Amino acid sequence: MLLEMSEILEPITSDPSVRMIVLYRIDGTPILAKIRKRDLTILGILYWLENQIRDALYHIFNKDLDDLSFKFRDVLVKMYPVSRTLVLTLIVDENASLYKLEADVESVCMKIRELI
Amino acid sequence: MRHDDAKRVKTGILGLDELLDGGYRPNTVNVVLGSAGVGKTIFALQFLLKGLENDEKGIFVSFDMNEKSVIELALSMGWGEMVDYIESGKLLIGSNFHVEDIVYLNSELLDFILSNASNNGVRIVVDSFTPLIASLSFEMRKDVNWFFSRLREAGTSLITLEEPLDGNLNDPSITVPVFLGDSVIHMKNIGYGEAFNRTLRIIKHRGSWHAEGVFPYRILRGLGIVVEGSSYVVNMRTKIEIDEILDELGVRREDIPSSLLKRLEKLAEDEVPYSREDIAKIIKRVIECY
Repeated sequence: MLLEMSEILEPITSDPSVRMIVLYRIDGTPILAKIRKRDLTILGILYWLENQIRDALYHIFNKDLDDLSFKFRDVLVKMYPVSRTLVLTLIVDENASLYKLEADVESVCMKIRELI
Repeated sequence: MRHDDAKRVKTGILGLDELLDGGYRPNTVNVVLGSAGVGKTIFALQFLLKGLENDEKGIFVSFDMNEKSVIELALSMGWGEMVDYIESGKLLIGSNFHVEDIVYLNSELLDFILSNASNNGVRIVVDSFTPLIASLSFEMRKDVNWFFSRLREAGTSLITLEEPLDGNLNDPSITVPVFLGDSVIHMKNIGYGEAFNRTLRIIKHRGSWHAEGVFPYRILRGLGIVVEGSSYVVNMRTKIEIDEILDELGVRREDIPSSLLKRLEKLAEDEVPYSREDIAKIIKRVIECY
């Protein structure tokens, strides 16, 4: 299933503006992480995310949010609920085409929902 | 197949050995950590069953399950052969140690295990280890170390640990065996359903490669615990040719110190869990700073 999920995420991973994708479980456990390019600058964001993820997921699920965004210097962290238990998190460049990305995210989320 | 695959002790858990580089290392104490209901006892029985199928002896020590409850659980999983193994004496159930009488690690329990362990090929399960060390403080870790050393002499052991329901893993009764155990597998069940409801993570596997990440598992009658994700991990591993990489980097073998060359050759003995491109970068950096 991880292999299939990894393949489903491929359209987003191949987008050059996407630095990293993490699929989190509701308890904050990272189920699948894909780093497009080994980039030390996102390490700080990942440490930050590790401390915030449970709160962020709590708000997504309990306040029924469509997505959640955080802006750092030159990167955006976007979180999208996929299902009752999974949240897709993207770390992208600030100049990324969010319109295209969100269309890809919607399609990917649908495929993951079908898979699980 | 890795170079020491044949020496590994197969766990019996379908899909797990690939994530442990072939299985447990022999004569080790392996920890399975998880809260109530994740399947620790099923894991333990499956581990024993695999050994019994290979004509190894099994010892199952429990403080809250007697022979009847072990048989009931085995039958509910469709493992009727467990009854035959118990009757023939190949599987020994040590259930005379009652949870209310057990205060701390004791030699009576150890004597029971050691006197019943054959010279080789014995699998020992202590399910659960938590009552033995519930009163443990950090200063008492040498006692756990002593207990584990004796278990290693006897065979390959599996102990289960109860994760508190509040998720506090900082208690010495968790941290000490986790620190001293040779491998630790953390099983988790979030209870919301869906595909990633039950997952496991290998926290450590001393002296061996192990897969990183979170892997979903299911508990199925007959098969027991089935772990998914091994194909994903296997796909991520790459076999590298040192000479090819050195050629690409424009470095000659004779220009590298022999001690470093030996280490690079060791690196190439097994598959590595990184892409060839990443490994080439690492080798380049290592040569520069060695």
